[in-house]
Amino acid sequence: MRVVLAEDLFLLREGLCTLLTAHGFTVAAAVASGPELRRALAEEELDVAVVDVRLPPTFTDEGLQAALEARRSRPGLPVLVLSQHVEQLYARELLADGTGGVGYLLKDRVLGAAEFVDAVRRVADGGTAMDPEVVARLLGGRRRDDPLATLTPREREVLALMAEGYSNAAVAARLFVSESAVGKHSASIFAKLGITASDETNRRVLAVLAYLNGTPRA
Amino acid sequence: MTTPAGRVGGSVLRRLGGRHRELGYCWAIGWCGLAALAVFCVALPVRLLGGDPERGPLRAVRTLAVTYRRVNYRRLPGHRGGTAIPSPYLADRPPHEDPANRRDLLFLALEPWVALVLLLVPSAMAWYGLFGLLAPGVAALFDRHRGLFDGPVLSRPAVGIPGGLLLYYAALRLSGPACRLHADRWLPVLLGPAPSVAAEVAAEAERRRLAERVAELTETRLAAVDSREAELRRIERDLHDGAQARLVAMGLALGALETLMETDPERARELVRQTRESSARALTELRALVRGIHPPVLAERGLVDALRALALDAPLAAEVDAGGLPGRPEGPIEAALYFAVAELLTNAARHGDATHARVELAHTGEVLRCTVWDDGSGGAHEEDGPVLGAGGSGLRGIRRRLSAFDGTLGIDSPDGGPTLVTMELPCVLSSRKTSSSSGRGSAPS
Repeated sequence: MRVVLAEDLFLLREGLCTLLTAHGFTVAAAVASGPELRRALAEEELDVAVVDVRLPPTFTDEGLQAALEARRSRPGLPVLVLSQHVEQLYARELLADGTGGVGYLLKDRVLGAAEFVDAVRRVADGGTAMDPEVVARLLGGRRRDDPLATLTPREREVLALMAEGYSNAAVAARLFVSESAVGKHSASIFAKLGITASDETNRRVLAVLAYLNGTPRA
Repeated sequence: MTTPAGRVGGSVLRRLGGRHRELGYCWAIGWCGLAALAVFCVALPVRLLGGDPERGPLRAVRTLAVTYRRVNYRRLPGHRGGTAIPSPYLADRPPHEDPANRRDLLFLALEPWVALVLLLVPSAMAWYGLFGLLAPGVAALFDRHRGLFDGPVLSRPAVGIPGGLLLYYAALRLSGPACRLHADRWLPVLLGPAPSVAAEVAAEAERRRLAERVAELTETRLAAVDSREAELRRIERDLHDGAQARLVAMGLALGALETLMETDPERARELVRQTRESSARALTELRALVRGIHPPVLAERGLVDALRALALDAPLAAEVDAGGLPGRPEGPIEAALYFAVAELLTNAARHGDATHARVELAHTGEVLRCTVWDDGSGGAHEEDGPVLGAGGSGLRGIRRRLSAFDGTLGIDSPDGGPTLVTMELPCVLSSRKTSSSSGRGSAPS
């Protein structure tokens, strides 16, 4: 798989290159600024882009904007966005087009190499990878009359993992339960929230995220 | 009052109220003319005999003139002046040389007659109109004492009631122009600064204004330095107890690992896991600290999107309306407003039990106005609680932070809610580069 990597800190960029190469990725381009990233996204043949939100020269959200633009001109282009902090606002923008192939993780997650590589693969395959902190924020700060309040603690755990982008099998492995148990939980969750469930992992994850993003909050 | 009839009724009532305030002015200020006459009659001989302007009757002249200047004209509808007449006295001049004293005396001499013509005529008309309205009724009630009310023609209902109404209405119509003529045109003529010293008085007022400004700036600068100092101390403490301590622990663990790897691989693996957890916690703490110093989203997106991000994270349903903010305020102002709104939203949810909030941002003239409304239980007080932190509302802290930018804080929070907080900051917007989501198709929240 070919990866375009954008990260302005030299050490982290080199580290990510080494990590991805070691796990069988080919780094097509490793760039350090917004304009370089735009060029690479437009020109390179790639399967997934791993992009830092904040890039020179402006040190604003240049990386995020470049990624969003690239996805507008190449719909479904898999992009994994990394940041020192996570914002619901950015998550909404990344998910706004309703297609998969989106990831949004804290840079801290790079430390867990296997998990991180798994997330990159998931995104490259058109799935999603949302940081647990993003999901926690999507789930938190809700109104009291929210249907989410009717979920059991276990169902909340399942919902959170689904929102992070995991398949039923992966959720089952994480919670140390059987896959059929996860299936039961998710059926109950979807009934309570009024979401039409799909068997296909990607579609289900997107439905969950759309629900969490779109619940009228105002 | 939502029905059209209700609105019309309301506006008629408001107008009637305004007219009666004008009539009240005519009546009250009109009779003050008597006091002016009395003080003048006593003060004139004293003045001619060269009395001390600082005491006795001449002191009373000054007091009365000052009172006239301070009459609250603002309550009069349509009054343009708005504020009291500026003081014409010169601080650096002995009182008997100050032309203002002579003019005060002249004013007291003329005011009774001006008031008689301008103010007491409408008042008298109103009273006589009221008398006409009431006279027929009173006469009918006390039939036997008819003689009392026989005299004026008004005691006949056919004349008394319409005549009285007409007279009263005329008095109401007249009192508006009369009191405006009195307050706007007549009073400033003699109570304002004399033309010969106007420039001097204006210069003195300017000096006074500057002195007050310097005092204000000294105070707000002190407050700004204070809160900065407190802020730095908090950061130092957080780093010392948090990330720094964790790094030390991680260093120790790595040292231990060097030997454990050989002797006890199982134990070493456990230590590696702990160290990784420690580093993750340190990162989380640093992230929280950075957010408290300067929220990254503010640096990346500017105030409007930062407020949107804040609203998304708020523990209540909050919406942000910043439509048509043409540019960005200065960085420090953005940060001050961001933290103020963060604090207000937290307060609304925590102390006011609010479920909905609305943040509005607008720039008019050279003022950035930010209002935060919530449907909580209200009763927010600035005096309550400490300057910063929980328990109190932290409103005093917000005011202090805003005052460093000459900003103001207005709180309208009746018991039972809702609460409306208005923050105003004088500032110009610059066209600093932002990539607002609002202009890019996706419109969150």
